[in-house]
Amino acid sequence: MAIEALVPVPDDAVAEVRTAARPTRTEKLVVGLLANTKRNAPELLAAVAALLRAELPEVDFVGPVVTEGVMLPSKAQLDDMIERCDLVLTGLGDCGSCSATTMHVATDFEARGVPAAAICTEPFLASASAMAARRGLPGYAFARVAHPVSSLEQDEIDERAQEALPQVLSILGIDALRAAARREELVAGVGEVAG
Amino acid sequence: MTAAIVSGESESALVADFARRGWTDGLPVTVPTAERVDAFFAAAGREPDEILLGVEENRRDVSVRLAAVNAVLAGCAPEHFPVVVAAIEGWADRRWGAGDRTFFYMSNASTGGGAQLTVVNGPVRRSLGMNSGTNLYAPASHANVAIGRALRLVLRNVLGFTPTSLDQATQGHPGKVGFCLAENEEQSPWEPLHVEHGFGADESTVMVMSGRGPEPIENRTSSSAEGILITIADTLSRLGAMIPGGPVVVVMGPEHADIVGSKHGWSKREARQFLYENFRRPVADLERAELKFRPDPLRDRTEGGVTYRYGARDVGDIALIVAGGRNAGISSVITSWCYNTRPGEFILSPVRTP
Repeated sequence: MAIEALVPVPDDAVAEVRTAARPTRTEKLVVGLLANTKRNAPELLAAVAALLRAELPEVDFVGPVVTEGVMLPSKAQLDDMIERCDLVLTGLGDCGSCSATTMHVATDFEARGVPAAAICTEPFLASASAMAARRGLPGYAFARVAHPVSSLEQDEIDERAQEALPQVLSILGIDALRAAARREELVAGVGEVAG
Repeated sequence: MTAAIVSGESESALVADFARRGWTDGLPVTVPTAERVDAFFAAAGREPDEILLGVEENRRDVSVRLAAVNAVLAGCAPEHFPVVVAAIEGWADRRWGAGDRTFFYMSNASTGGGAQLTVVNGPVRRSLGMNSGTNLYAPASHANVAIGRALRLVLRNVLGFTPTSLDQATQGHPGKVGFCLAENEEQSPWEPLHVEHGFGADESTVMVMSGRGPEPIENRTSSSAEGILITIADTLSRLGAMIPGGPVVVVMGPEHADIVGSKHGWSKREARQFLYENFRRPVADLERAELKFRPDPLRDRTEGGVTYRYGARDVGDIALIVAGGRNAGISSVITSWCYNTRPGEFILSPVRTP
C-alpha cells in the first residue's frame, strides 16, 4: 500500500511580471545610478555612466545614489528615481546577498515601468538568476562582469565598466533602438536609389 | 490551506524520492507522514496555517506546518518542536537588522557564511536532555542535533537557501549542519543568559544569532581572571574578525568561569566589561592588513596616543554564557554575521508549550 508524505517545500509559484517597455529614443535620456553599500559600487556605476555619455546624446544622470538600507533603497528613494529617470543602472552584486538584492532592486524598477540594468559578478549568476525568478522575472537579463570589484583600484574599475557597457546597452534596449534606426536608414537609402 | 502530498511504495522509496528532489541535507530523512506531523502541531499547541516568518526579499513564508514537516524530516521528536518554533519566531523578530530586515536575508545568503546559532536556556534543556557539557559543539545529544538540523532544513527547504543557489557562502562552517547549544546553567557562577535578559529562571528561551564558527581559546595555566579574559579578548580581536564586528557570544568553559566568577568573585557584568575594553586592535594593525572600514563613532577611539578600532559598540554587544565540560581551561567565542541588532540587544524568544 502506498505511503503518503507531506511535501517539505512551499507551493508558491510567483506571478510573472513584465519587464518595462524599452525607450523609443536615445536622446535626452535620464539615467539613474542606484548603488548599494558595497565598496566600489558607486564608483563602478559612475564609470559605466562616463562611458554612456559617449553613447547617448545629451544624456543626464541622477546619482550615484546610495541605498538607505544596507542593500535596498527606501521607498522614497525608489519612488524618486522612478519619477525622475528613464533608465536605471544598479549594483553591485559581487557577493551572495548583494547579487540577489541587486536583482531585487532591478526587478522592482522593471515592475514599475523603468528599464533597469543590474551589474553582478560572474560567481553569482546562480543567486542573481534565482532571485530574479523569485521576483517574477525568470530569465531576466543582467550585466555580468569579472569578479571581484570591491577590492579594485580605479583603473581596474574602469576595465569592469568597459566589460559592462555593451551588455548594459543591450539590456536597456539601446542596441535594439539603434539597429531599428539603422534599418530605417538602409530602407530609405534603397528607396532613394530605386526612385 | 492543505498540505501538498507525495506518495511512495515504501518509506525507503520516499526517502530516496526526497533525496532525488533535493529535500534533504544529503542524509536520509524521516518520512513526514500526516500522523507524525500532527503530533508536532499538538506538542507546540500551534495552528498549522499560522505564519511564523515571512522573508519578503525572495517571497517565502514559514508556516507552522512547513516547520513541522521539516522538523520531522530532521529526526526531531514532537517535544523538540516548541524550541524550533521559538527559534523561527526569533528570526522573525523586528529587532533583527535594527529596522532593516534585509540583514536576515543576508545572514543566510552571504559569502560571509554565518550559520543560524541557537542558544537554549531554562528548564527545557533538562526536559529534552540537551547537552550543555563536554563535547558542547559535537553531536552528543539527540535534541541538540535534531533541533539544529530542523532549523537548517527550514532554511533550505522552506526559505530556499540551498547551498548552490541563494546561499553563496564562500566557505560556511560546520554549524550549517546544525548549530544548537544549551547553556550549562548548573555549572555557572552567574545568572544565565535568559535571566540577564529579563526572563524568569523557570522560563525557557532560545537566543538566535547568525554566527560564524566557534573559535577555541586554550588557557590551562592562568590562575587570574585577567589572564583568562585577556586570552579570550585576544581571540575576539583577531584581524580577520574585526570587520564587521558587533555582537558576539563568549562561550566560557566552566573551569574558566570558576576562576573568574567563583575564585576571584568577578560579576558577569565586570567580566563582560573587561572583555569589551580589550576587544580592540590598533587601527595601524588593520591598515597593515589593508582592511578598509567605514568610520564608526561607537567603535573608533584614541587612547594614550593610539587610535583603536573596537570590535563591540558597547559592553551590551558581549553576550557571555557558560557551557562545555568542567574538565579543562577551554573556552570559545562566536562572532556574529549580518546580525545587525542595536547595541546591547540580543534576540531571545520564549519557548511556549500548550
